[in-house]
Amino acid sequence: MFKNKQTTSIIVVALFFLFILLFLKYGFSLLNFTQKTLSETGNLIANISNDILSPEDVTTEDINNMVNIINSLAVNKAELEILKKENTHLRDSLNFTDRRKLRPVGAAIIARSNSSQNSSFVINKGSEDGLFVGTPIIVRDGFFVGKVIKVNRRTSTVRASTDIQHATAVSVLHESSTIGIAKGMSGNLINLKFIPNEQKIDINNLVVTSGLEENIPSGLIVGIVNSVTIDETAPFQEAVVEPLISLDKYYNVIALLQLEI
Amino acid sequence: MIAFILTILFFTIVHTIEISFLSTMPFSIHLAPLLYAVVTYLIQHLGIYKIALWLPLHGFILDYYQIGTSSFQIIAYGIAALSIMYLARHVFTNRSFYGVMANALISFLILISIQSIILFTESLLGRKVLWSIFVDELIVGAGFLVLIIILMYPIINRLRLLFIRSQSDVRFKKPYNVK
Repeated sequence: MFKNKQTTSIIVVALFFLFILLFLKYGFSLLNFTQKTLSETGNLIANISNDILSPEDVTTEDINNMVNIINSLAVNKAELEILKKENTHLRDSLNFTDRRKLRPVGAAIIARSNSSQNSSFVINKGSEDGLFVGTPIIVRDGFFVGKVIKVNRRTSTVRASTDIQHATAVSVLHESSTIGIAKGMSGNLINLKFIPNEQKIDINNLVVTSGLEENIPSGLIVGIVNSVTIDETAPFQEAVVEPLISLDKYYNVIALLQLEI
Repeated sequence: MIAFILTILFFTIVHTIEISFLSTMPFSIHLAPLLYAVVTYLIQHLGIYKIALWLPLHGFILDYYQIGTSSFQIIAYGIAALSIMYLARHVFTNRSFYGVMANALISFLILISIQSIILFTESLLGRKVLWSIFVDELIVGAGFLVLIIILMYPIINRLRLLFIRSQSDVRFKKPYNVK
């Protein structure tokens, strides 16, 4: 009886350690895969439900086409403006081209915050993949969606650009390239602050990252100006910026790392 | 040992469903506190008190990844877990559906109160807080809590036996409504 009990205990302990070892070796990958799959499924359901509830006279295909055209035009405009400036300053600034040498690292969103107080999400890439605090995160061809705020070995937490705690140095693309600070606000919008009153900004002006912030290259699209508030008594004006990308529809993002030279 | 492994496994499944799947859902479904509803059910209805550890563990993971409503989620969820246990032991001794519902709503209110105290403290230290949205989300969250309990009651009831078998301390206890 005693012998049987002892053998059972040994087997249970051995199985427990085997479980721990297997979990350490494969568990995180399995969990990562499960989280990724669940996140993708959730996104799919969200997209399908949006499609079902959209008006019938405009088909989903039409909307997608129009969104693609707008996004592609926004990318082209941003690139054009950046190229114009690059041409002007190329000879003066040797390090400028180096700033554009970036290494994209694809990542999947595996978890999200469920509160509007905190628009953050977790991606399945971490310090092992070269990510660090401050790494810019984009989707598609350069739509800025947030910055890494915490890095673990295999995962990172990203604060979305629409989070109320988030701030990024941006510039408005028009004649004089106004520089300001983009801060998240309620309703998945961005508040553009500290724009001098003498600078004229218009609705539909494109807002991109200014490149003044460490590790964040210039020219990443933040959104378009939706409204402008001018207070004559204040030294600065404010604008509301609408992101061109809704992060809810994406489950894959790109982390932009500086290329080691 | 097996009970411990199973508990961790069940926690991982429910937690992953909440933060990876429900959080991406549309129409405010992302506010549905699935794990909270499951824990309340298991404590109030089945008397599995050790499940209360799920809540501070959930809070710890939210803190670790910084995806919680506020900082110190481990404290908020820890106090909520204690309140669920207290309510189940001393206030709502009725193990029925109404007992579960009352326990869930009152302890959820306690959780939200602790979160709002933490948020208020953080706002004094300079953090910007969207209070109106916080109140909206509280109401929607409570609504989803009620809905989850109503929908999941029959489903979890079937999983009850599996859980009771895995928890050694309740294995030989009489089920809640067996005379």
